[in-house]
Amino acid sequence: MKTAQETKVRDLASTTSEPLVELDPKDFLKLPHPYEDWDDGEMQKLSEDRRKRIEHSLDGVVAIGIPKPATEEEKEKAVARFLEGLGKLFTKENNWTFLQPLLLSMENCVKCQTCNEACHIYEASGRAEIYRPTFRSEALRKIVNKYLKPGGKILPKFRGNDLDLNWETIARLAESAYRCNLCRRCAQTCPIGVDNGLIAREIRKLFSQELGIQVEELHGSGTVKQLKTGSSTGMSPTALMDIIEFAEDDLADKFDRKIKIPVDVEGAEYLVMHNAGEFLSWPENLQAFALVFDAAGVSWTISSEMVGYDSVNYGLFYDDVQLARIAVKQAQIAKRLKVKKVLQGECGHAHKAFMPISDRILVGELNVPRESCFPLLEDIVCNGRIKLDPSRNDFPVTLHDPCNVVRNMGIVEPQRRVLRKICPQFREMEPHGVNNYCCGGGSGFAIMQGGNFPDWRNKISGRIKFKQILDAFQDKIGPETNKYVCAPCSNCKGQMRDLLTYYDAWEKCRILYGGLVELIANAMADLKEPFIEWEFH
Amino acid sequence: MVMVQILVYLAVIVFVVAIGAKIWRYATTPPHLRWELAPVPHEADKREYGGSYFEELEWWKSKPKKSLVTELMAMAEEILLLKGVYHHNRGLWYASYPFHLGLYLLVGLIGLLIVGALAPLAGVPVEAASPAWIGRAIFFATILAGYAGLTLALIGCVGLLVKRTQDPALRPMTSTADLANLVYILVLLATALLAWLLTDQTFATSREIVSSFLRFQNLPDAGPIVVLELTLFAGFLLYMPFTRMTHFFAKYFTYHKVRWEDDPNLPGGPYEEKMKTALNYNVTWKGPHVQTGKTWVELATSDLPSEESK
Repeated sequence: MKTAQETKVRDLASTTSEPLVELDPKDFLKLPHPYEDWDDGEMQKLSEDRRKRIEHSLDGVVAIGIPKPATEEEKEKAVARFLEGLGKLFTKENNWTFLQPLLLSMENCVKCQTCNEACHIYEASGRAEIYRPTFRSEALRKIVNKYLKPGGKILPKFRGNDLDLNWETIARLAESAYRCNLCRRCAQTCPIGVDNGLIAREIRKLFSQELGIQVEELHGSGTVKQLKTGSSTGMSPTALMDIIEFAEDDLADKFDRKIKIPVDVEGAEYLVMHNAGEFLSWPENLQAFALVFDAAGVSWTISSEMVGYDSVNYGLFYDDVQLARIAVKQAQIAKRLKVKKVLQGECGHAHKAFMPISDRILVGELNVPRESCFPLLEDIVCNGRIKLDPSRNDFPVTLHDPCNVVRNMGIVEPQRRVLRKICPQFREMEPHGVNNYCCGGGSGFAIMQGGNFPDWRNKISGRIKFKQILDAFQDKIGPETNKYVCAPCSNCKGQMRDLLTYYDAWEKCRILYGGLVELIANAMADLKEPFIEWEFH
Repeated sequence: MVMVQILVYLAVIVFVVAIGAKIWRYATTPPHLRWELAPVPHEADKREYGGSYFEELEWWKSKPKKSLVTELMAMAEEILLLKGVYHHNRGLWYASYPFHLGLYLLVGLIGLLIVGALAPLAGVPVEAASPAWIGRAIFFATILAGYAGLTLALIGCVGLLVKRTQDPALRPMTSTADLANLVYILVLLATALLAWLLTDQTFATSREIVSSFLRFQNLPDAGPIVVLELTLFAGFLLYMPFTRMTHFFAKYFTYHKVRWEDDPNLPGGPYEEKMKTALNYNVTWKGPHVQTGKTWVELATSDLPSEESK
């Protein structure tokens, strides 16, 4: 077996069913104080039974869980289907959605590797070749050049079209598309404008839309469940009403506030769409929004209609058809409620899915105005619409920039202006803003909890973010000081929870995570109790 | 010389047609979903930190403050200084920058040779002692662009070859064809330098050759090394449009039509009309959740197929 640093693109075709590389935690990026001696142990291995049944031949990690074909015939069919789908990626009928960016990225990469160091996964892994941002793009390019273009098989080695196409190649390529967070930090550095993140997404899309191969958490338990039950969490409209009632009771009990959370109010100014995961995992986020909006006199409502109370749209990560279905449903609900605009809560991918990405498919009456919560929160805080006492937030706070909100939409300053106003000890991570690093949970990783994928996510894709957090708090890193990572995005918060748990950072350093609106609620001068509870969950 | 002349004409035609076809292909793809990436430099007030109009309340009610000047400045930095490579891949920049700067000067040289070939027709001799200042300017600018361009491009080309063969990040991603391309360019540049130094120090013969091409007259007999130079140049024009070197114009699309394209689809705006065609394309994807044969509109507004929603 080659080391992680020796693998070549053509090795993807190796017919062994064993992993191409064995990841060695000793190669991984070193962490700062107090993690100088942190031992990651070994990478979590799959059980013997799963190794027999499930494709894991890229790096021994399983994101998708593709069953191994039982016969050679099945393998050949899958390869033929893959090629058919690959061809469709380059037709306007099937892929007008991303045809131009895909063509440009496929045909113009000069392989200068300028993007390499921008990738947090490549860097954190100790520069394992398979995670190099150009690796999977180059693999796809070689397949296209060799198998789809006329004369592609002439002098293949000389022209670099040296990757053979077989079952192992496509199985590894499918898994490889889920070793990229689609954060597009690499694309930012490309002098040509090539986008390896886009190519990774197109690979995911090809497998989903043609072969029906998807990550269960994104598809079956994600978009399908959302369209079927109303939410990817499985939450029904009835369950939603129970949660809202609980939130109202909690606000009354804890803060003596009798707030009625508005549901299905026709003609409200804002239809607020939250990631429904918040309601279950971080109900304090909904409560904080309710407190702040109530105090500021905002006209708002939540929808109780299926899909309308969950801003999630995992189609963004892997499938244009599912993306469109969910976006259209959400827009239809806003239209039916006759709200003036839709407000995206603290969920990064929902921002991107419903604001810029769906922008051109929401035509006619579905073209409802859509706004981010961050400018509104800035307006409330910075224009004195509620009474705030920053001394209530006198603890170290740093800000994680969700890639979808910041790098992909350019919403950079409103959340910072809020933090500068209400958090005396606010400090930036480095780098930050549009140059931020992904939390490592982007593009669906945060909700992918199967097999040994979380182990890989904690050790590799989230590693640089954890390093950034430690660096930001180095002056008060000890457990005697409570510290807060503001991560205004549901999926980022899920990743923070897992990361901080894996590294035991609550016990060792007293680092808590949460959203932005919770900090605003915590600073509300007339709240009898602090809003933030310093308990890790 | 006739054969060489025909070859060059043919190469120019192939080059123009192939490049034109590729530009046409990129330019006529349907409008795609938005895929912008911050920072977007035409954001007049927010470009310094990468902000966008999404930072505003009710952003759709006011016209975005776009600045063509800041966009042009960002383009100029990228094209003239290779800013991205400078910041993110300094080692490569030391080779790539002189190479590209040299090529820019050599493109300028071709322009100057054409102007210099046409100038006498307007009564402006191009020589060191030309009575017209413009004739003298073209004469010296040609020499400067030619030798500086060749020298820089040669240095850069050698540097790129070294990087491609020695750098552990570049080597595994470099094919034999990539190296062959660099070697070809190196031989072409070296041949040109030798031809000019040996037979045409002031580019007077080159102007005569260009003039003959433009007027469809027989080329002057300039010696074997010039024949080799012209043949190599024609070869380069013949294969170049079919390589990744077309990034010189593709960059326009990647930046202006993808990274920086943030035009919102406002009600009644141009995108509503443009999207009608795309949304009515029939889909042939075969995934079980996709209903093959339906249009995008039908798919987006339909429920999941029954077997998927079980």
